[in-house]
Amino acid sequence: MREPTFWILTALASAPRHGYGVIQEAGRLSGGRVTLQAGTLYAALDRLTAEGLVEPDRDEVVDGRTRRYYRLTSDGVAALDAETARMRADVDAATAQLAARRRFGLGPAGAQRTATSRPADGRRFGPPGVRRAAW
Amino acid sequence: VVNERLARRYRRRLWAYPSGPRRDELLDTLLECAGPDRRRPTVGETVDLARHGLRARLGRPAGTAVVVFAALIAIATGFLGAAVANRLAWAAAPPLPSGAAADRLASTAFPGLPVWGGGDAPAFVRSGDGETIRYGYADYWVRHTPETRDVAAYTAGVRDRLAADGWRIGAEPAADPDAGTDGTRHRAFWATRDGLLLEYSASYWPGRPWYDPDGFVTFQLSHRENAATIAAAVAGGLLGALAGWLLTGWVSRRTEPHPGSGGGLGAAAVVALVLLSPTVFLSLNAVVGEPVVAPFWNGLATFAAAPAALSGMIAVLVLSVVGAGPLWRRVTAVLKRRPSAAVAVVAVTAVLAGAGWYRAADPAWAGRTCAPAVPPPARADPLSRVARVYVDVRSTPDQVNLIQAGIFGVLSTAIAFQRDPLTTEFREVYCGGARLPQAVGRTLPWYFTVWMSSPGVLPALEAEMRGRPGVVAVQRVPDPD
Repeated sequence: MREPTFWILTALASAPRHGYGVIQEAGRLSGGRVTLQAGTLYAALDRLTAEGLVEPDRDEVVDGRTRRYYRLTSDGVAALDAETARMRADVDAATAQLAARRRFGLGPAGAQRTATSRPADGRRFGPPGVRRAAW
Repeated sequence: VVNERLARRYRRRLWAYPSGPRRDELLDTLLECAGPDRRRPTVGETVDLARHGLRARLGRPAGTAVVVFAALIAIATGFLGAAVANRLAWAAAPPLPSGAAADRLASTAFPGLPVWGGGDAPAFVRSGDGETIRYGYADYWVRHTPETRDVAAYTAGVRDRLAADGWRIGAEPAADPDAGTDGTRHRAFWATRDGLLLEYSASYWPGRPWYDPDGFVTFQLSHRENAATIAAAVAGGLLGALAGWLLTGWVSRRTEPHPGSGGGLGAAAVVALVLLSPTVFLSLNAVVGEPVVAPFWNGLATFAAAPAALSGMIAVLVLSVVGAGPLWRRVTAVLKRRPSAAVAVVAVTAVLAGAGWYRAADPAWAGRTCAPAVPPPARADPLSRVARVYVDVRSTPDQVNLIQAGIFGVLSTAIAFQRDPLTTEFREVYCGGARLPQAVGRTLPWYFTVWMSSPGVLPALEAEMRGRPGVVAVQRVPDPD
């Protein structure tokens, strides 16, 4: 699942929303990191509708223009559930790896040192002590 | 308060989308996103709308195959659009040099020698075997003198004089590796200037009898692609690609509600694209270091024309089935209700077709007899490359041989003769297909047909034939191609 798709489903999880509502909610939930373009949003909504994850909810007329609201279907809820489960598993795996690293005494400083010396490639230049300490 | 000017600008960008409620929905969202003091859409929004709008025109939002097909079809129709636009632009191409410009060129290349040929040519000409076309050309040539028989030295001089006159030499003079080993001397090079291509070739064949030519020193002058024809090709290509994309989208969206329609349409598209692919690939087949003498759509006008036409038929069939679906359903519904109407339609169509065929039938069948003129009237385009030499029926075999040798003395691609007044061809020439009494036919001059290398060869042919015993007339005739 690509990021815009994930945020559209997430924005629609709590309530049916129209286009601008989805863009606002995705921006708010991601802390301003995600700005959906209108064309991208509707292309994704069309695709999600065709796949049965999203469906039109209701139409409202504002300023003479019809505003269509969309909602998640039960398949859409299931898809978002599956995606969050997958992401949670990913996060858990990464968290466990970082915890193991700290337990072996490398700590946050070790992480910093490995980042500057790039020890995965042993031939990189760097202070000799740092290279020994890494991995 | 709605910003009307911003709305108008958004609406213009929303033309990328198919017409329908989606345009209004997007406009609403875009205006809500824009905030009160925005004046114009951002570049990012414009790109986003163009990209997703063109995608939305294809329908089937969850599919990827339709995008691939639309892209391939757009390439194919873009190629066709470029070919058609390029061909149309060539109709406005200026004529090849004539008059003072041609004289100056002739005397630059061949100073002090009588130069034959020159003049204009059609934009495109077909090779003798019909397998290729190339840009039309005019031949310029001189007959050998003691000076020109030293082919290598004379060619070097021609090359230097042309280069000094502003011609860019494309390939330095070289001998044709296929030239014979029987003492034949040969040199060729090519040069370009101001949208013109000059292909020089000189041959000397020693040891020929007096009545046969001992070679030629010649160049062919033809047009090259110019800014206008290239611009037309680019514009036509873009329009063709857009049209192909939009038509694919139209078909895809109309058939979207029918499950399983995608497979059939995809198969039709594959067949159509495969049939069209040879021409597209052939157009990329330019050889580095050789002059470009044929347009890029060469294949479309020659060997690949039939598969391309088949491909077009598939497209027309798909478009008409998809477009006429409701109409066809209405027609079949009527026919089911009244089968007698169907019989009547078929009968009337058959009668009309039969009557048309009857009218178009052979005039000879209608019993018309002609009174032939010598030479027969021939209304030929001045750029026709075909001529006839009419020969008196009483001429001796020696006279005929000398006439034939004289014809070989001018640049031609093929010659043929027709001595039989009973043939359809002979009857066509003298009587346009009407009946020609056998006794009259036997007294009429028979003829050589000469496929001249270029239209400007005719004066040289006329000069060769002038005063030769047995020659009745020389005439430019319409090109059957």
